[in-house]
Amino acid sequence: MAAQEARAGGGPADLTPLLGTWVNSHAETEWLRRFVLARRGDAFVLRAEGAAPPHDWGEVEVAAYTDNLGELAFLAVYDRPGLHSVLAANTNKGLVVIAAFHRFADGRPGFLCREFYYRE
Amino acid sequence: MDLVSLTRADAKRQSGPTDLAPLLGRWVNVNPATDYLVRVDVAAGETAGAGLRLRVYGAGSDGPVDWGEGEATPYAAGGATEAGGFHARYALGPVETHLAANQKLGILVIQSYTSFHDGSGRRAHYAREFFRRL
Repeated sequence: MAAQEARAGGGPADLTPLLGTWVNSHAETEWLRRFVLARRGDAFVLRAEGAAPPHDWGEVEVAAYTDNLGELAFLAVYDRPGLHSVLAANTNKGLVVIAAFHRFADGRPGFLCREFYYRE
Repeated sequence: MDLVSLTRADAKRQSGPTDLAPLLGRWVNVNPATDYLVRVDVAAGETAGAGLRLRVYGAGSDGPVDWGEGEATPYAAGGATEAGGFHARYALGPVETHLAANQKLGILVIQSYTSFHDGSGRRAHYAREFFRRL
């Protein structure tokens, strides 16, 4: 990991350019229809909207990152009763791409899906 | 039993093992000049349903840096029975890295999210890289 650590400092990345509402490019998605990224004090928070009830997943704080080209990325974790979800997001040419990893507590197989979101 | 469901997709497959074969093996970065991950070895857990065991090698100034063995959770792609990716979290001292991976057409795509909790002010960084099976 030494080479990575040598990269310039600056702490968490600034997600300000991503604030707002993002919509899934696949209107018939079975996963997340849209999400809102907002600022709460010094933190950034995400509110996801699922394709099925209950649509409102609630709000969680996200961790912010940037790549070597300055593209932003973030990670959000939802830990709800019976369901643990990791949303691993990156940006690319105006899109937010989310790889969602969902794990159930009741033994159902976990699944993943990678989908694309454009700014509303 | 009432099943938790937050998306329509949650009801697709309710049981059965996930075939880990698409993820197993030694994966090397197709970019030999990477600053991030050089190689990832993926093995099945010792018992059925135990998930995956990872061994990750980072790119170091004097050669690969062995992160040691860690655990990863496999995930199927949608309703498929085959594993399509995994998630793992490494906490090595003050350095925390999440690995979010998916496999497609014989390539393992690994997104790494690394943050530092040592007060150094180092920038949290992200990378998306591509690995082929050795």
